[in-house]
Amino acid sequence: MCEECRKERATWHITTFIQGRPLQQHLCEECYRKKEAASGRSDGGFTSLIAAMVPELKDLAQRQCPSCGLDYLEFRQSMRLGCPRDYEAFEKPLEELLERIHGAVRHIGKVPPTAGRQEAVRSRVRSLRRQQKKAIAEENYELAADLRDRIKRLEQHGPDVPQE
Amino acid sequence: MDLTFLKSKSVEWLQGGPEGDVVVSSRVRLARNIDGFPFVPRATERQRARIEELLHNVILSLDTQPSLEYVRVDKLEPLLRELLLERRLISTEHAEADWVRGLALDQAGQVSVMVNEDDHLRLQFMRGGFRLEEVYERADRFDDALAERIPLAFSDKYGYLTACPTNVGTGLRASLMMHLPGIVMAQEMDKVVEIARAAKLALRSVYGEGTHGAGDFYQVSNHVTLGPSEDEIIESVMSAGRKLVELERNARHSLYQSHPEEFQGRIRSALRLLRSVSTISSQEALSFLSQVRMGVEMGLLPETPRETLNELLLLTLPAHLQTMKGRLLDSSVRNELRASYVKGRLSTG
Repeated sequence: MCEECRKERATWHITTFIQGRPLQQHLCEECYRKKEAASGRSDGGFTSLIAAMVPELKDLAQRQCPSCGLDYLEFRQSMRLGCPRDYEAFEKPLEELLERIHGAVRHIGKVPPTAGRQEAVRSRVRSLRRQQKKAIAEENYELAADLRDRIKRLEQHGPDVPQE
Repeated sequence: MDLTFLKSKSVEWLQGGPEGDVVVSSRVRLARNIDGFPFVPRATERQRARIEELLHNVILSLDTQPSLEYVRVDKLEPLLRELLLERRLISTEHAEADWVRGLALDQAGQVSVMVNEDDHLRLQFMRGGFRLEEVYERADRFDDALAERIPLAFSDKYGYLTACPTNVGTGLRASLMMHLPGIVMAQEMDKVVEIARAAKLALRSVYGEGTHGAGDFYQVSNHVTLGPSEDEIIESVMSAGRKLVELERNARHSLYQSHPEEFQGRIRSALRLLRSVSTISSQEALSFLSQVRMGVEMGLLPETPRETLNELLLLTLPAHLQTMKGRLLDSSVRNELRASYVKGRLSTG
């Protein structure tokens, strides 16, 4: 419940320091806006306030995806990215997060078969090797030999040569 | 669309498979997005509708084996959504979201493709028993066919791009649903936690919250999706799965060896109870069915077929019971219906 109007649900929970002691306030959207306006702070003011307090956050607050408009702080609140372009737009802070989640920041696995690049060949070869291993385990040597030839062709000529 | 097949047709993974005494099912999920669209949570209502329409057409145009049916999840009645959730064909998020979303599925419950979950596409493949490699291969082929039709959001650096950074890279979540009553009874869950931790796998109980739930069913799945290749992920889950199978079999064996009468008594009394009670909650049914399932798998209850147990574990869940009856029932009526259904199935085999 909002402490100011005592009507709306409090959605802002603000901690301010008065003479070094923390004071918590719970406000609804409207009362928060009023208070902000009274103290002469706008949204931009909020960002610059953050920037003044924690300089490294300034960069994050200002990083915004040119394609979908999501900014990095918004993303950290929901943990959902807005669009595929965000990965480039948020590159550095996002990589730090990926490192914490996965312990890695580079993909070495599958590449879409239509990508038509070096990577796609590598990925396709890996898939065929898996099938080859299985064929050998099942003693299907004819299939294994066929797969071996396909792997060879792929490695020599790339993905553009018809495989079948 | 007609979903009556959900009520009548049997579910493939209930029939079990390799190492079926411990591994109930193997599942692979791939998260994919179309390039050029925002991810679902940030897309507008119109964009979501376009994505759904596009993917609906693409999926149905694929020449898949088995063939798929398509249904609009947001247009289904709540009980059917609950049924799909209990059958693990959709996620909780997909059941509860408030936007246009779809599901393509086959009749045997081996394939389910969620449209407009957090990601535009979640491809899910499942089979009974310990068959993760085979299941991954099927998912991989489907993914290849899909990529021929639509441009997928992919980056050389980060791999397949997903709405949540916990899925980026391979977009692959490989999981095993395991039945571990022996380990629980022998109080060795700390070993399971350690195996999962060492292999960077997530461990959770299937029915209930946290690491202990009714029925001693657990799911182990990879936590990391970026860095290792698909094959490495599959292998890490399989390797942990093999260790857990061994641990569970050893636990069952030594419990039986050290106190055969007490062990058998416990299983027989669970069976007796299921054959005699006139009302039983879902959680209680899961616990007793779990004990009986272990007894059946160990050959201690030769008169009860194993498929019956797997089926009962699914069919006695609330939405399944209500679907069977064709209407919503309050919990006391459900508990009576559950008791009489279980009794009937366990006395006739």
